Amino acid sequence: MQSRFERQVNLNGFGEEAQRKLRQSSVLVIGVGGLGCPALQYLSAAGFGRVGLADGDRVEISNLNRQILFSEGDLGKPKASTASRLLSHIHPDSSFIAFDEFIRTKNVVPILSGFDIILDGSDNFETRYLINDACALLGKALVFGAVHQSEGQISVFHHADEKGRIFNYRDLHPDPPSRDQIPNCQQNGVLGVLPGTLGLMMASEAIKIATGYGKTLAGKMLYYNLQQTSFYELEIGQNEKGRKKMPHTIQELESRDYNLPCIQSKEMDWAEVLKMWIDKPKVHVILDVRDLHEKPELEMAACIRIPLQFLKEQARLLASADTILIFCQSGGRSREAAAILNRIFPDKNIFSIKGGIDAYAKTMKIQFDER
Amino acid sequence: MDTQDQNLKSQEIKVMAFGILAEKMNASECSIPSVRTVSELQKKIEELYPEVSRIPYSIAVDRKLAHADTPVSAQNEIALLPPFSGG
Repeated sequence: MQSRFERQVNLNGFGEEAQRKLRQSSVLVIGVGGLGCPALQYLSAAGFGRVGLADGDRVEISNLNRQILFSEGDLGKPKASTASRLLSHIHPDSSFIAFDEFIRTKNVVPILSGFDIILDGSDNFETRYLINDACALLGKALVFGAVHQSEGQISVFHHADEKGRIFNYRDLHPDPPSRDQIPNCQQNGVLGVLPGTLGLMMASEAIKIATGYGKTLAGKMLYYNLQQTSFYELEIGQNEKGRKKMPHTIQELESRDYNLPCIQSKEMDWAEVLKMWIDKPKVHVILDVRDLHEKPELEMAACIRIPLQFLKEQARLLASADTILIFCQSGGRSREAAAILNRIFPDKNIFSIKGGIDAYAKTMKIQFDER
Repeated sequence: MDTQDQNLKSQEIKVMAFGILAEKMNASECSIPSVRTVSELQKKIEELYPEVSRIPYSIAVDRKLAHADTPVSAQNEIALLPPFSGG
């Protein structure tokens, strides 16, 4: 009987047994971005039984050169569930589980526990170290891929190499760099084909781990330079300095401050803010992060002013609010403030108000004119 | 080039730089004067390219992860490997 998997079942050394193993395996892709999108397409097409997608981000127009599961009609939609809908339509035999949230210390163990193989396609060091440490403690094979400009790197951690040795991202890089050493989440330029190439290599490693077909990159880090068309394969050794930095228990992992950055702040415009304010006035705080001398003031009850520079130390003043709506003069500082508060209060709803107080004046004028 | 120059040249060590280090050094390859160990090599590179010292990186000798006391010579292939984070 012909099936969609016929051509891989017919591959020498793969066969029905490997296909059955894929069907019984589950894989979680963290980061539905430049690496995650192409990896997801091929993991699903290969026949993994269960595919998870985790990303707290929403689709932006600048994603579309490399995040090829999305179209312009998806702008503003959550990446994980949007990609999951498309994939379940193309691959009805596999089941898809979408997590529209970022991986953090609180959710990393419950989410990762549900899958056999983890693919890390995230975009910042802190998340990468958190995932590495969680995979070590949970005994999950980790396919690691990352890019920088026109270069990429890929490896397999926490999975035995040919000699039975198991390596860890911290063997290569014991500590995450601080943000002033290597900045995270820069809007770096990238040709879509680079994460595309790396993402497909990550999918290949996951298929090999699940089926035992061929040889994986365990114990090695492969570097690819797109501009030079060159490869470099590094043999990783055990690094005691790095291993000492690992948390020893899940409790230790969950209570460690990984200093997770770059949570894309959610945004709202003033019309939405005013509607929310009228519907549920008690649970919201409106936070002005401009300096004390900046004008005009917002004449609204429950508007608190904490200048951005004092926000970290005075954040406890916001502890009782469910939802925090932040504004500044034009919308820049409020985004930064939202990122800071998201790290301090991961469970609160935090929004940066688009366009700041400048946009407020315009919105009020329009609403007035409409009456 | 006289014989002495040629000797000095032949003792130079070729170093490849990856990722953000290649950007900071403005080159994906450089030559440094003869040194005996990885830690001496690192010191030399950071003298020649001070901006590199701010960045954490690993060093490979002949495509194997090296330690501070791993010996190096002109015959070895050296690589400076910073971490990448983009996705």
